[in-house]
Amino acid sequence: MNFWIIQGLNGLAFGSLLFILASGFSLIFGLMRIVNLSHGAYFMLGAYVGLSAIEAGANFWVAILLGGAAICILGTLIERFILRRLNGQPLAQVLVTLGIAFIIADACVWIWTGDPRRVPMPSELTGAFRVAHLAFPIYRLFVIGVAFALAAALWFLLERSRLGAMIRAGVDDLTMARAMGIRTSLLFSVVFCLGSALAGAGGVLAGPILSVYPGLDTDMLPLALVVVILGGVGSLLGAFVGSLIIGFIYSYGQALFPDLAYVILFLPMVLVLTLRPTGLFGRQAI
Amino acid sequence: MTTPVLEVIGLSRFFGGLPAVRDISICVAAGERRLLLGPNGAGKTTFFNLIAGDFPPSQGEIRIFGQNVTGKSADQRTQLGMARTYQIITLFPKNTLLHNVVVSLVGLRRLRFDPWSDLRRQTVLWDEARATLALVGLDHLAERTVMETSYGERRRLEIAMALAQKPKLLLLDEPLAGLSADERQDVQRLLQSIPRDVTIVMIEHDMDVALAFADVITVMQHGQVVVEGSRADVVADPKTREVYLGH
Amino acid sequence: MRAPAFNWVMWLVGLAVLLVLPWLVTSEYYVNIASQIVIAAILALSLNLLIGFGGMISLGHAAYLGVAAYLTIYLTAHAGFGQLSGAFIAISSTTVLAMLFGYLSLRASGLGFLMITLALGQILWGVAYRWASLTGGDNGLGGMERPHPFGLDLNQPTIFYYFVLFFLGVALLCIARFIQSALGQSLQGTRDQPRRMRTLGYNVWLIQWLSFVFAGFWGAVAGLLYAYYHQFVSPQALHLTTSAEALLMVIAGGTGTLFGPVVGAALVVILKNVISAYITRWLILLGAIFVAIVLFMPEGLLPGLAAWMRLLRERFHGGKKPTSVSAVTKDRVL
Repeated sequence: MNFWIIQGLNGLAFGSLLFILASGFSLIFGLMRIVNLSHGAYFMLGAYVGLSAIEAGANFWVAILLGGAAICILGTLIERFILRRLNGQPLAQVLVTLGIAFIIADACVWIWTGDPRRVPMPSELTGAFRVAHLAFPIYRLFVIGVAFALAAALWFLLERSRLGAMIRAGVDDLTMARAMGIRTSLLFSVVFCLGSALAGAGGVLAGPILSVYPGLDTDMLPLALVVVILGGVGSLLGAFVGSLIIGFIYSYGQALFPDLAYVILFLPMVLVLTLRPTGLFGRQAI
Repeated sequence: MTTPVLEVIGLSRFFGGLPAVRDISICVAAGERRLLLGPNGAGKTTFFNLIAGDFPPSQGEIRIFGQNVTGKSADQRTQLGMARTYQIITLFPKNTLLHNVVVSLVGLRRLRFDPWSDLRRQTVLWDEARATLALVGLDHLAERTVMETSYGERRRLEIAMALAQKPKLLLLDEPLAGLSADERQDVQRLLQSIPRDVTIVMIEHDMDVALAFADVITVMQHGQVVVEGSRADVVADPKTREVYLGH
Repeated sequence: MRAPAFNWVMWLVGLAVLLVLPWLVTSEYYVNIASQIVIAAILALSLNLLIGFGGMISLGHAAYLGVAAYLTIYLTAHAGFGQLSGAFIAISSTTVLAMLFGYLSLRASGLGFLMITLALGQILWGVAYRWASLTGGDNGLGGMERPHPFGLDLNQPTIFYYFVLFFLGVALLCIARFIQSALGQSLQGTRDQPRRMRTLGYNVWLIQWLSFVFAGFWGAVAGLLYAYYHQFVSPQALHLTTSAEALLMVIAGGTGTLFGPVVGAALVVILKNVISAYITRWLILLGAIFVAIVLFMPEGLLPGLAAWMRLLRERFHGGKKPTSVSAVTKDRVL
């Protein structure tokens, strides 16, 4: 029984990290129809930036902010000066993000070398939470809390704010939104910045759990894709539920079928594709 | 009583909550020239697309040549002998006119699955394509790319591609749209020259041409059939004037 | 439709260079690089069937290279099969995999297709990486001996080069014929106007699926040769980065031509193996070149270069006003 609970919480924790990554990816894809193949690299770079900040003496919370801010700036620059030039050519945009991913990934090896690095946990959150016979790392509970808070914040943003209304309009019908006077180019920059910041901050948050290493980007990116395919295009709820499902499968899978753990992560995606191409909560087929 | 070439029974199509086509039933006999009339938004193009197989209906049945094709895809219906033209021209812009027609010809032949034989060497096909272009008066432009032709010429190419398939049911979606007076005459003459073993269903706004051309007219509004009958019937019917009031 | 004479000259020159390469080039090291380019070229050519001629961007094409390589090495070096039977089973099994992956990938189109191919490729990487008892895990599978077809000693770099060059020739022939065939032209039609093709009676899904399988088959051939060359395979062969490199080769070389992918393969292999000795951060260079090509020369290197050469030729021969580059690149296949 303990096993199931602990693994469940681990799954929840991993799913939470995945949600922070996938939510940004989903926003960008849903609104701008850009499959941002650099998203994994943003996550990794953010983690490295956070690591350096901590090693330079900053506290963990500042490191998260710095990680998020750095990637936000980088993302905004890329969107403004490269992606916007390829407006109307979604496949070219995908290719460019691929090239950029290569550049970022190799630059990380250059700057931070190829050794895996663990990001130190903030001292306030070390240790375990004990209840009954169970002990579970406080930091992981914290991460779960962050994901739920983020989900609530994003929901609030999308459903209750003016910006959110514009985003939803753009996701539904971009031409119509433009026709109604929404400044879509500004909206794109804002969303891309937000998505990138989430990836960067998420990387720092994930640091104490996943570590940072070359290859983190290509480990995480496919999972973000799976979450979007599983959850459905343009659906925040889909990204949330999808992330948690993948998190659980990852956790239980690792424990029960270590050889095939990575493979079964993709099974829900395969099922969804065969039976329900719009994903669990999406409205258009991918 | 011979089987109608096209039979539509209780056809409906909803987009979300919106009924674009509502419970339409029509019967088109062999050799008939049927005209679909109606103001914008009447559902004519949706109806057309349902018959052509672009998407499935929400309710109802479609029968072509007596066969139930409701579940069949567009390419399967074409294999049965149907052809259609589009309102928006969807040709292959970087290819020559001849090439476009050849693509049309290959579509119905088993050759289309051949991964080895050079298509350029199928001289029989290229000759037939040239003859088809001659039918619509475009053979002098055979080697031009579609990009280099005028709108009127492209419309005629559309029709050529449809005719190349020797269809028994031809669906024409506004064949005269956007043409100059001379071009209209050319296309009109072309349409009138099509033999009676081809059944034609047409959407068209140009009243003069359409009314002269049609045997039976179906007037639609709000996704439903409002008036149906011969030219005289339709013109006389007060409901027709109601439909067009304000236009 | 007739190819201009200039192209035939380019063909012959290219062919001649390829044939005498081992004599032009000084050391065995470079002959081996040439072999690697040839193998990469076959992979890139197969991928371009999907991308350039089918309009389907795949980021999981390494799957066919990797699976064929793993099967070849496993069957021949570890399961006691002979070279020929091992090769046959490897290629046919990989082709069957392409049938399955084609079905799953074609549940979507465009960006969705891309994402599915990526995910499917990663599944295979995951299997290779984790299922160590079967695949050797991170250590990979080795112990592969090169075959001796008709008594040829493939351990000699020059002989191996001609061996793989032969396969490149066959691949080029088959793909060139495919592009000009009715099925190949239908594929290009579905790329340009899928709705129109359906109305004309074509089963678009079937055409795309068949092309996917055909591309997977040639990817498997590249994988077989890869296994022979390296005599070893690791999960890296199935990784997203390998698929991405193949994609880079195709885009860089030019998707609209037959030989573009060959040029792209040369670019990437040379960067990876030769330039990397001088510039450690060659991946940044590769990424930057790629971004530059997508931004400024989207048709790829080969069409861009060919257009400039044609422009120069016109200026040299005609003395007439040179036409623009874009006018000259219309309707090109080679």
